[in-house]
Amino acid sequence: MHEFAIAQSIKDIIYNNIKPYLDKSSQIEVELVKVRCGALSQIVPNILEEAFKAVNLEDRALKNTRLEVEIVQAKLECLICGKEYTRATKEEIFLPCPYCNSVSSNKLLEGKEMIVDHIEINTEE
Amino acid sequence: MQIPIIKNVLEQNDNKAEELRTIFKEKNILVLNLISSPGAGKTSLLERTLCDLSKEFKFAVIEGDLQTDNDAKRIAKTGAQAVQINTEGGCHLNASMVGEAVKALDLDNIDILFIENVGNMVCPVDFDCGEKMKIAILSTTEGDDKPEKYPTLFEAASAMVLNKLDLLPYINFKVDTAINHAKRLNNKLSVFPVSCTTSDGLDGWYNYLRTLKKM
Repeated sequence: MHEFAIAQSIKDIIYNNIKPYLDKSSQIEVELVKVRCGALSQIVPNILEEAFKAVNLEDRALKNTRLEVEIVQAKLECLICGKEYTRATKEEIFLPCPYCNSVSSNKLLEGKEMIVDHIEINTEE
Repeated sequence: MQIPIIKNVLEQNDNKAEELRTIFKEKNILVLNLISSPGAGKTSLLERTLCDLSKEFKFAVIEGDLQTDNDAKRIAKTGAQAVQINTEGGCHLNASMVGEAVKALDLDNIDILFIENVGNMVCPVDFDCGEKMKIAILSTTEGDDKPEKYPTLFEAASAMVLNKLDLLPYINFKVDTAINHAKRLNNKLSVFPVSCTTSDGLDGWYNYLRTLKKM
């Protein structure tokens, strides 16, 4: 459910970044927003896509924007052997370390982030 | 035309949370954000804590619920300051809601402020509310696989209170399984198995609060 709050934040970030272009032309449209989410970020991509559509239904510049979510692998450090490795999904987090087979402790280095990477805008009339 | 952005989606919330953290630090208030599924016993743990430590600390609680002020009424009976936030369907508290709630509190008269988040093991984890630490509460009736299913909460929390220990004889809950999975991504996690009904283990939790308050 928090995808709606996330969608609203993404909208705010887009507006902060298109302001200079909007000042020049009120006709610009955002065609794409690309968001990167770590495998542990708790985002369900298609719910976020739907939420983003819903918060922008009546927004001239964003109503046709395609939101693309890229899930980025989580990066872990095994605290037994010290090696780093990646996991693609939450479920795989609990698999043993691929190097030393330990199932005790890991440190999460990356995997919770949610980043607005870039947008593509159409400035034509 | 492509415009690079590279911004944290939650930056606005994180900035507001940082503002709150600065205020809490100035006022020397320990702020703990309690996160669990509905019915794990957040309010019960608070009722016990607030009553048992009422001579040591001045407490306040910000209660987050979808609806009703039932929890704030329960807390107010302990004599602590209590503010209710109704999220009207929203699944988590965020920093600006907490910022509003804080205005109703007398910050010069608080040693420890608990933020009792909306019952939900997923959404509240991502929204920093200006707390010093997140505390996960898990109850035995939820099943020992919850840390495996919701690893992000246990990774983000500094401590886990494992509540409803008194029910262990009646259910199939393996304490070691839950704790091992909870610690898998977070080997610094402090764990406090307790029963708010029988008082088992509460002393450990209280000592933890005393230590945090001195830090």
